[in-house]
Amino acid sequence: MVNANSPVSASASINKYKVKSIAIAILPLAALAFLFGLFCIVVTANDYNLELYLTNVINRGTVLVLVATGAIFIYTLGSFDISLGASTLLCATVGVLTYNSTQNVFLTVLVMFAIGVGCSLLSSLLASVFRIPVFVTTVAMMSVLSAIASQLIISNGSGNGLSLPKTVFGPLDSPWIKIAVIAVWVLLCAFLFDFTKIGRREKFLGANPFCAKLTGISMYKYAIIAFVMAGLGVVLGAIFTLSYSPTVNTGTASSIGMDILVAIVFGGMPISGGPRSKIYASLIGGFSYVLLNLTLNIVLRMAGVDSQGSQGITQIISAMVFLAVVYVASMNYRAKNLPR
Amino acid sequence: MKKFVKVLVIAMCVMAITLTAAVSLAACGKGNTTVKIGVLVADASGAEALAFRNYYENYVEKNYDVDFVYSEEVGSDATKEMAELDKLLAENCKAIISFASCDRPAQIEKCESSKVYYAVATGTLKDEEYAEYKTKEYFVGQVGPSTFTEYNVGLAMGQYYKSLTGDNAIHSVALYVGFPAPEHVARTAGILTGLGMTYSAFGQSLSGMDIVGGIYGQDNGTANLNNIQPGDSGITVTTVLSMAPGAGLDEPLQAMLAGTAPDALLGVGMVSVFMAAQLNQKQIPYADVDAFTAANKTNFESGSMRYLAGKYGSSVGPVFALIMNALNGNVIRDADGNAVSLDQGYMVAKSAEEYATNYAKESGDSPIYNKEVLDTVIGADVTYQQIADLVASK
Repeated sequence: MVNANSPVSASASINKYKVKSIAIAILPLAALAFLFGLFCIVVTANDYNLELYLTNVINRGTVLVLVATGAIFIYTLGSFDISLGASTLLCATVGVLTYNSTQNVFLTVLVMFAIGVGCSLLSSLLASVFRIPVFVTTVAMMSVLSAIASQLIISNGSGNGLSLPKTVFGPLDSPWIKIAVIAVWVLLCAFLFDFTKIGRREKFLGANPFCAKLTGISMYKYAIIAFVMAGLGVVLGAIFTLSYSPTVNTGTASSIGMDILVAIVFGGMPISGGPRSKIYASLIGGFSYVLLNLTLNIVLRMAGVDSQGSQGITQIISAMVFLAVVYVASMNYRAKNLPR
Repeated sequence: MKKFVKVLVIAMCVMAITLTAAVSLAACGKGNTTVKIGVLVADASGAEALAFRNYYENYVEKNYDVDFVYSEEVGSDATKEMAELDKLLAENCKAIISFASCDRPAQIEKCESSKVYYAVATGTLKDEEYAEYKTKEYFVGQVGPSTFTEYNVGLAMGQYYKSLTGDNAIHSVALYVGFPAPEHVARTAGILTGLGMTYSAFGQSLSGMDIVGGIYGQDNGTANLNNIQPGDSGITVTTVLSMAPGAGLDEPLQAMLAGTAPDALLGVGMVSVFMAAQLNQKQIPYADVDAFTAANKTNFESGSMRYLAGKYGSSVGPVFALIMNALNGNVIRDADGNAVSLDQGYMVAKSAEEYATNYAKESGDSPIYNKEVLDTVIGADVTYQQIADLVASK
């Protein structure tokens, strides 16, 4: 009989904890692989064009993954930014206006960077100056940015939105270019997040801001860095939005803010941020979310549900999966051991 | 409890996978040869959209060997519109009928590069866009109301209300000007002109179609109450309601309902969706540009709807005929070799009796564009003139 306090028992407990941690860590990747397999089966069983459908998956996932990867720096701090969709819309809108008035691609990209990063900085500065929780300022920013973008679109467009020539960003509309840009962006963010003090301190701030403050880490400095990274993600998202569809309307990127939240949870990142934050959660979660939605949409239509009905049911099932993922992930957080 | 939840989650997952596999395998065996036509929709819940869908799915599908594959509602998001179009193409649709207008040039170019026939079923392209794409091989054409027709629809509505006399005469109206969309602005300009009113913009008093430019150029596509100038008819506009971004419909609507009711509310579209229930309850007479549907029949018979300029479900029949001809190898072109562009008008009802008569033409198993009629314009020898004559006759 082994004593509960014996070294053997403690070792078994640690092993059990490690196995559980590893299992939960690889669960999002396994889920992505499973969803991908299921998606391929469903598409081929219906005689649909798998190549075109996979391209569709990449097109739908690219902007989400690019913006979400930058946003992870904010979520790691234990905060969230609901205004990223509106920032993407404004960034794309100003980009179109700039190009249409100057025909200068370099200047257009420069202005888009200024707007994307500027909007993010404004959110973080408002939070710093007025000492308001970051997510509160982003809720306000969402309304403000959407209103400005809508006004620009309506006052400069012809009722159907604002367009720029497809030749401007159109050459970027290739699955391989999108995959390459996602890879570079995720790797760059992963480097900053996992191999520099920026990532380490952000995780520390997310886990315990008081303790981090007492050790001399400035919350506002790292909040600004996090928002700059999110702003860069927004700019990339806006560029690839325009490469796929060169027209911006008032509804462009409207769902990005909430989709990011769902995607990073699907990717296995805790919404509370902290040391368990993972930069690749956006990549895994973003594509898992897209694959889940498309698979459910096809299956429901095969079962006789019309496209609108399937859209509604897909949302309900996604919400249930979201809750299930949060539940499964939280099982690990409730362990007695401290995060390591 | 924790164990129970775990078992429940696993059981649900297993059930979902089994169902998915079963449905997929069932679909495998079908292998049917029905032609798939993709339908790209911006709105899926409006009366007009539902009427079109009902016609395609419950009438055309039963009479022709076609299967309509509907997209999700794309709203006002060009990116989602493109993603949904890509999805329809991935599902092997051989043709696309578009009810979405976020970025029609991009839709045409995508279908051209995918070698899939494409037609516009609501509204029409801008003149410069039509000029650019009319010779594209896979652009079949467009059948719908032109901007001038939209203006005339509003004009007729305004003139009708201005002409009412005696107990029916109106002195005050509320306007519902919809979204800053071209068709809504054109209808608004028509209504104002029909009521004998003008619009102040850029220091000038605009009338007729010029009002469209004023509303767009000065007021971002939404008519401003302060710029509406009453004419000599004695009718005044008391309220302007809109769905412009940021305007907020609910508050001004509630204020209007709480205050002195106008003699009539004239709307440019989807009044039945956004405010029919309140107007019916308050017995405020209203007019709209919408569709001949069962819901509007009720609004006419037991509500306070008094005027409707509407499309009817089968008005999308001619565009289906164009697509079917193209799929069968007869891509119809006009005399100059360009894609078809036909203007399509509205049916108007000014009383419950008129509504019932028009509605009866469309309901049941024999819509206005029934199989017998469609068959006269579907075939290897059908010409542009035959289609044009048919559309003009309805």
